[in-house]
Amino acid sequence: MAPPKRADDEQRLRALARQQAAATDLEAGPCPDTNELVRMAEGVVLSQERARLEAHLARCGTCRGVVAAVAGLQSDRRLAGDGSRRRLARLATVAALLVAAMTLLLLWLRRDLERRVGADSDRALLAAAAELVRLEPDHFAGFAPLLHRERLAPGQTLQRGGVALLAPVGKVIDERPALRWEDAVGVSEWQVSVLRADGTPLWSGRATGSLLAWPAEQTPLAPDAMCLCEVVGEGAAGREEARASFSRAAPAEVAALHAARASIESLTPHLRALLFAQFALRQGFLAEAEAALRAHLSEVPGDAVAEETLLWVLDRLGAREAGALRARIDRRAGQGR
Amino acid sequence: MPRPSRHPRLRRRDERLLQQAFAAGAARYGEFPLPFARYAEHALQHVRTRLQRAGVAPTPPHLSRELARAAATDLYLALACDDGLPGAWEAFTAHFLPRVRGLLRQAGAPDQLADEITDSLPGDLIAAPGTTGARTRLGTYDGSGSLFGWLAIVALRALARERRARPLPSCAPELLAPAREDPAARANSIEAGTHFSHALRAAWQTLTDRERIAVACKYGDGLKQEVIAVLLGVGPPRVSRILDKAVAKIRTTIDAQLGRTAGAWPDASDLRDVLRDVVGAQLATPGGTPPPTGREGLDHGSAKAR
Repeated sequence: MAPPKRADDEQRLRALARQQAAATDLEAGPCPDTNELVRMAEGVVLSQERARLEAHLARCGTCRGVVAAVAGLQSDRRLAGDGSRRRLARLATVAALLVAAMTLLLLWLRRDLERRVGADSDRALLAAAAELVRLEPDHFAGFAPLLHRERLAPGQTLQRGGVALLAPVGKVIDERPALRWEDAVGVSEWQVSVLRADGTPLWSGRATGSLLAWPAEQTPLAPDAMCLCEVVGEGAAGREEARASFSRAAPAEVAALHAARASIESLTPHLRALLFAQFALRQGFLAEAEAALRAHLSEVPGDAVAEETLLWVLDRLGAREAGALRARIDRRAGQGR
Repeated sequence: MPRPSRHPRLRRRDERLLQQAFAAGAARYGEFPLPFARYAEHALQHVRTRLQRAGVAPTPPHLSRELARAAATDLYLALACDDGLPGAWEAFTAHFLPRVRGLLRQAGAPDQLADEITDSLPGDLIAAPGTTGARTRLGTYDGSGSLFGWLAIVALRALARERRARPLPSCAPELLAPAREDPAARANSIEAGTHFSHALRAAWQTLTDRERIAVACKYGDGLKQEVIAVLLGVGPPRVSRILDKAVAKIRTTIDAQLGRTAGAWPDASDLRDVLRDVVGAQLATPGGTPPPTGREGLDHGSAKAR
């Protein structure tokens, strides 16, 4: 006999199939109890009982129907939960995008800051300074190292006159500081005068070179004493003079500087010279800052932060060396770009 | 609320878990004068029985795992009802009956029938189960699934029983006996149908239990694969593979039985249409088990279980 043709009577075929299904009454056995069906519907059935329950459900339409209905409820709840999860996932995506945007912004800002700050050692300097402030607020309260832009900004010189008086300038520690100034062409002898703040002479002397020790027979500087140093000479180009004020630091200031140096050396030994120099110049101790920077540069030649800080000091001193140093720094910056 | 006293046979972690469920049950359903020790003993006993029936030794780790999975909060209410504590049945009806009524309507029960089944539910559940251990039928709830799920099974079984008692009009006679057809053609058609029936039966026999459940749920009930996945304890992708394999088996068997070449079905959707009818009919006319009668229908597995 030919097989049935669906095209002829598909509806009848289905009805026959339905009849066949109704007749397919396999032995399902006794139905599981309600607790077992709930476990099946809620997916918490023990693995040891699963096979038995599946065997029954495969044969019992009633149990399969009720279990499927309850499982559908569970699934709807789960799907509703999935909806919540999807909403949460969307929120998480938006949050992630925001975080990514913020990260990019921060990276850009950091890059910008880095560009402004300069070398890596400068970042380290900032971090170390912050650490010092945190750990020793008594000594370092308000201390902020000079940033790249500040270091390179042209500063107002502390000098008066055409020649730079290199020392003493600013605050000095010694009670008999040595005097040092720049040479000038054609000057064979310099007239050196140290005046009190009120203009009365403290002492005066003559020097043939550009260095003169504080005369032993002269009165030493009293703490907090403010003075003016004048150096005058006749050179090839006419009168050459250097003039700058200085003061002797109070004992408390000196003690604070020494304490700061000790702290810096113990807390941030890797940056001790730079940090101390920056701290000293912030306090007005230009000579100590300059000495520390030169010592550092002798150990780490070309250190950008040290050179820029030294430039800041030399600018304030009005030293000729500042011009050469600035040119070198500018040249290096040009190569970096 | 007084602090529950310690149960002597419980591990400390399990006891803590049950104490939390006990407190959660009291918060959700109301505080009943139910001693914690009685509640803990009840929960432990159910878990132990369940494990033993599944052939699993009730060792402390197994007991702990099952206690952790149990709907112990619902068990608190079920036990309070079983003990007849004041207010417990009121809490039960207030919490669950409206949901059961909604479920029945969702399952296609007419409003009147849904109301009838729901209204008769407390009376059925408060009756003695005829077995030892529980005073009421509700007391046979063992907390392995949710109490609402348990009630849903009870109510849906009652609905199925009612539907069997009120048979739906069938379209089969008019389809099977087209009056105006040539008798020769009709005989030919019936013979062809018989062949196809045999082929279907043979095909059904080739399926595993899982495949039968998957096919029946998918093409008979139109369930989503996520639901079938819950039933089978697998993920939806695995359900797809089970269904594909089942359909391939059916196709091969029918082709072989009807003398066709393999793959003679024009496309899979035709076969699925037929399957939908087949298993739909199976659901409408349940298989091997005779319809439960009387109270057994509500919890008709319990007699066997106990």
